Order: sequence, then structure tokens, then C-alpha cells
Amino acid sequence: MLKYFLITIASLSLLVGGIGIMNSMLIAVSQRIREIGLRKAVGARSRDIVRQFLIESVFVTLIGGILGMLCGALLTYVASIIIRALGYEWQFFVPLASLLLGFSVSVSIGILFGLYPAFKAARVSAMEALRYE
Amino acid sequence: MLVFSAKNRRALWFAFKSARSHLGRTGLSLLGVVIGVLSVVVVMALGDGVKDFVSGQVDTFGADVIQIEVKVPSTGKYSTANAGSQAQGVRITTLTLDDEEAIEKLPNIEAAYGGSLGAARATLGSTGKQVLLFGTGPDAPKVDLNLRLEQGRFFTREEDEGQARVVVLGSETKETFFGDREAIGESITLKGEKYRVVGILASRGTAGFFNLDAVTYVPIQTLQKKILGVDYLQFVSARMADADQETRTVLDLESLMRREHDIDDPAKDDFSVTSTREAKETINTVLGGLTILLIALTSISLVVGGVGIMNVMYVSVTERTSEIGLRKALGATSSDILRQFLAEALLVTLAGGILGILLGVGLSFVATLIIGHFGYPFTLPLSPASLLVGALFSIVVGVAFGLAPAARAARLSPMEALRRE
Repeated sequence: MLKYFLITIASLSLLVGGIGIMNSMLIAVSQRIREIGLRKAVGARSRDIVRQFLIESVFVTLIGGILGMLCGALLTYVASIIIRALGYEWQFFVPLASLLLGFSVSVSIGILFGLYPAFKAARVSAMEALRYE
Repeated sequence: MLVFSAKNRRALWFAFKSARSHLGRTGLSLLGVVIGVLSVVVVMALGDGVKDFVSGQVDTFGADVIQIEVKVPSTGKYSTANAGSQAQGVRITTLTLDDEEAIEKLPNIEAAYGGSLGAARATLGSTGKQVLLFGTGPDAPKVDLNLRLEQGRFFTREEDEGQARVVVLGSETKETFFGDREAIGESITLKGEKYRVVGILASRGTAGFFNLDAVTYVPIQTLQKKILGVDYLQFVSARMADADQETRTVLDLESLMRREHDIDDPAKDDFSVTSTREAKETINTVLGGLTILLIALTSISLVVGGVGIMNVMYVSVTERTSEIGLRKALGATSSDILRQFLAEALLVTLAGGILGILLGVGLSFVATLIIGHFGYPFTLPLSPASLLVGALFSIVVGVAFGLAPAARAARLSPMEALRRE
């Protein structure tokens, strides 16, 4: 019960982080309108553009996820050393399930919050994009 | 006021215009802060609510009551070893009615009773139900002042000593078996024997941990001999005459119990003495620690929101390099530029903070209404502390994460800035 409550609260920060990623992806899309237009003009289809931006956001969240897992494991290890130094029985271990969860959550966040900016990018018409600026 | 000096007003105006020109980004940055502050406010209200609830629970047993309970020797009072072995069926059989009588004679003890819990199936005609039996001495109403009778009387010392088959029903148990009918003088069947109802208790309202209205009181000696077939107690509950002498009374109780049980090493105690105040303090310490942990967890989302703002601010500084160059060329000082960008970050976090506080207050209020609707005595009280923490967090996040981008903007040299693009 308490565990799930803690996970809920902790995942709020994932939500906030996801919003931050969506924000910077939206900015990236508006900054690279010309690039998108050019790619479309030389034959890229909408789904190529969606794929490009989705891969970009998943790449960012995945790296974040891997770093997060490494830091988490390190922190758990340090905590176990401290707890054992205080004389309590404590076994250091990182459950495989938590790594899988971290991995899948970071990919999901990347897809979830990358989807809207990616579709926004794909909707850009080549003509308008090249005329832009 | 210093905050509204001409320079600050101008900085705020620029910040406001820039925030409006990028509504999408500003909105998303805002959302992050709103979620963070909202959860801090709600978690703090939740923590206070749990504390109030638990204190209320403890208070229903009386603030000047001391509880003497059995304990597995050589374990701590609150240790898992103690709770665990008792749950696995280790029975400590050393606490008896003789101890209770000795406790009653201590100077600062006004009244005391020995008690045990049991369960049995009660039947009346076609109605049958498993009931919680609470065996107490006849003085229980003098110790537990919230134990009030609606009808009839509590059982007497003679009935207890004679192991009389009488019961006092909790208001809910009475409702279950008799409905609106008269219950005093009627009998219900426990373990194949008839027990006469002599009293009905007044409702104590819902009481969380276990429902005190669904309890059936029987004389302790009747419970011991006729139902459980044992001769020991689970606890003795005592009320002090003077609650200020609590520390001394607890010590007196401990040495008395050691004398009674021939214990010379306190580590081998087969009992524990806990006052209501001590129990409350322990609970408050645990809950206070838990609340701080939760706030720390919640504020991670504020930090993440702050990083998001910093990101957007860096982008905004890069995009507006030529604007900054122009302003500098026209005489704006570095501190003007710093102020402008800091104001922009603060604008976002402050607005997010205010919105988050409002939403948090609203959410706590709605949650309290919903919980109250279901009849639980649980509220999410609004503490000024949570509003203060929410406001403080949003300002700190704004300054901490707005400073670096603002400083980069301020450092730009006008020449280079204007040459770009």
C-alpha cells in the first residue's frame, strides 16, 4: 500500500520530466521547420518525419533512463553500506524487475510525450516550411 | 516597495510580453511547476490529516490512561520480534488478576481493570454472528471515560467474581440482534449458554482501527473461565488520578510489576508499560518522518520542473540573442538583462506556484468532502505551513533555475550579439 503510494508520488516527477521533454521537442520542431521542409521536398514521407522525431525523444529519455538506473543502483549500494555500518542486517540487491520497469517506463515516456511534437512536425507542408523565414 | 521599482517593473513587463508571445512553451513550463507545488500541498495536508486522525484514535482511549501489556521477554516494546512471536501464537501467561489488584492499589492510580479479547459466535433465534468479546473488570467505565451506557448498567464486581453470564452490548451489536426492540433483560447465546443483556453502550462513532460499537463486553472472569478457559490477562488498563505525575507512575508500575513477577533484569520484562502520551509521541515521530520523506519525494518533481524551465530559458536566450544585443547597444546594463530574464523565470514559477496552491487547496477540500461523505472521521486540513512551503518552493525553483540562463544572457557582448545572423 505504502509502496504503491510512494511509486505514485515518485512517478509525478516522471510526468513533469515528460512534459519538459515535450516542451523542448516542440521547440526543436519549430526551430527545424526548414530542415523538415527540405527533407520532405527531397522525398521524405510524413511517417519518416514522425519516426525521426520519435527516435530523437526516445533516445533522450532512454539515455536519461539508463543514467537514472545507474544512479539508483549506486544510491542503493551506498545506502546498503551505510545501513550495514550502522549494524543492521541488509542485503544489497537491485531487483531485475525494477531495471525492466525503468527501461520500459523511460521508453514509454519518450514515445508518449514525443508523439505530439512528432505529429506536429509531420504535418508541416514542404512548401510552407521552405518559405518560412 | 523595492520590488516595484521602475527597473523591476520594466523587467516584469518584458518578461510578461515574452511569456505571452510563447504561450505554448510557457504553459508547459507552468504545468510542471503546478504539478510539483500541487503535490507538495496535498501531501502536507495528507500528512497532517493522518496525524490528526491517529491522535484522535489514541485520544478515544483517554489521555491519562496507562496500558500494561504482555511482552515477549528480551524483545523491544515496538520490535517486530515481540509482535511477530505473539502473532505466531506465543502466549505470555504471566499477567493475572492479582497483578491488576496490586496495580489498583498504587497511589496515583484512580481505577484499573484487567482485560482480554476473544471471539465467539453469538446467536439469537435465527440471527447468528461472530462477535468480538471484550472481557473487562467492572471498573472499565471508570478507566475508559468514553465508555458510556445508553441503557441499563455495566456489570458489577459481584457478577464478575461470580462469573455471571451477563453481557453489555455495543450499539451496533444491539442493532444487529435486536433492531429497535428492547434488549435489556433478553438473552443471547454464546458458546451454547445463555447470557443476559444488562446494558447497551452509547455509540462512540466510527473508530478506525476497530469498531468499538461492534464490541460485546463480558465480565473478564466469565470470559476467562467460561469462554476462553484460561487464567491470564492480555493487558491491564489504568487511569491516573493526576496525569502530571505520569513519569513517576510509569516507573512505579514497572517496579511493581517486576516485584510481582520476580524479575531483576529489566531486559527480561514480560510486560510493557505505555502511557497514552508516549504512544502518541511515538506515532507522531514516525508519521512526521514519513511526511518529510514524502515531501522530499514530491519536491523531486519540482526540481525536474525547474530543469525544464532552465532548458526553455536557455533556448529563449539563444533565440533572442539579437534582441539582447540591441537592448545593450541602446544602453541596457548587464543587470537590466539579468533582471529581465530572471523575472521571466520567476513569473512562470510564481504563477505555477499560485495555481498549484489553489488546485492543491481545492483538491484537499474535495477529498475531505468525499471522505466525510463516506462517514470517515478524516480531513485533509490546510496548514499555513503548506501554503508557505508551496510559495517558497516556487520562488526558490525560479531563482535557482532561472539564474544561469539569465546570467548567460547578461554576459553577451552587444557587438557579438548584433553580428549574429
